[in-house]
Amino acid sequence: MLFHAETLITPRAGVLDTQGKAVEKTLGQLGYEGVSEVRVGRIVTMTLEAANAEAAAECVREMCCDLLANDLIETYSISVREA
Amino acid sequence: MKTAVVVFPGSNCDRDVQRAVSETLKSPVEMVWHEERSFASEPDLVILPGGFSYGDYLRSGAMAARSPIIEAVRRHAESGKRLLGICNGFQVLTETRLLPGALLANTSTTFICRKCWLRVEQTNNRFTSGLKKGAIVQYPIAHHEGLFFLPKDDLAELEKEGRVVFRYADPASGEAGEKFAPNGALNGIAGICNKEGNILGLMPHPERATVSHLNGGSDGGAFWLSIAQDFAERGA
Repeated sequence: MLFHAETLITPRAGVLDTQGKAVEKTLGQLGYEGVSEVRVGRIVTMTLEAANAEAAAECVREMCCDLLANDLIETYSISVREA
Repeated sequence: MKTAVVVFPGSNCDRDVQRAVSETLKSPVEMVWHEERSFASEPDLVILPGGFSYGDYLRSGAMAARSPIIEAVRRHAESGKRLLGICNGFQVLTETRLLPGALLANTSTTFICRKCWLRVEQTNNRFTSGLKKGAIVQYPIAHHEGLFFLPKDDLAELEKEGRVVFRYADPASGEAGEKFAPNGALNGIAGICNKEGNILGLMPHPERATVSHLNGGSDGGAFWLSIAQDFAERGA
């Protein structure tokens, strides 16, 4: 079966996110008040073949360990749906 | 001493380091494309050069760390031979986990290209044994992701084991530490080695401070000579 997978990768809590800080500062300059904890991450989307949704999610988890995320500095969450 | 420089798509300091090593040490330097699976020359020193391998896609060094040549690089290092990563090469070494930590975006949010000064913190490794502990050297930096990061406990362990080889410093006072790091590196760390001392990664570029008329200074010459001297004294 064919699945769409979406992986959201964000900087781990406690890891300095320079990009997030810069975005937060600029939002403040634009007049948005009370905004904090801005973090900038990335989304990796893909289509993959797997026996079922669990197998697809497991495969993407392996990809995260192997390449997509660096678990020292990043966390990730995976969502899978039928294509 | 035979040297090999790995060339990734996007490497841009490969020829600088080739020239710095071959001119200083008058020894051969093999250039190896990242798609190779072995080295032709059985090198004594492998260098992962600076640049923007794979355009820094995903994370700096992430794609290069999964290149076909990396298994040969790993075998080379595991046999106890010298492996050096400069700038993007250091980022590749952390991505392969051959060295601990990660290099995050500079606190300034900008790319920083300038001269900087480092204190030689350790000489009990296969690279800086010929330098003087506590000496201040000038190698330029040129990077956007140079903030050395390691979780607190691991950082303390790294310090305790004496694996911080270079630290950003003030040339006037000789002081070193985080406040002198142009990129915000934790504890002002510019370069570290593995426990065995045969793998070194550093963000600054000794090869840009070797050919003196390039105006990057000439402190890099002593770095290459130190490696060659250590090799001559200890062998592989």
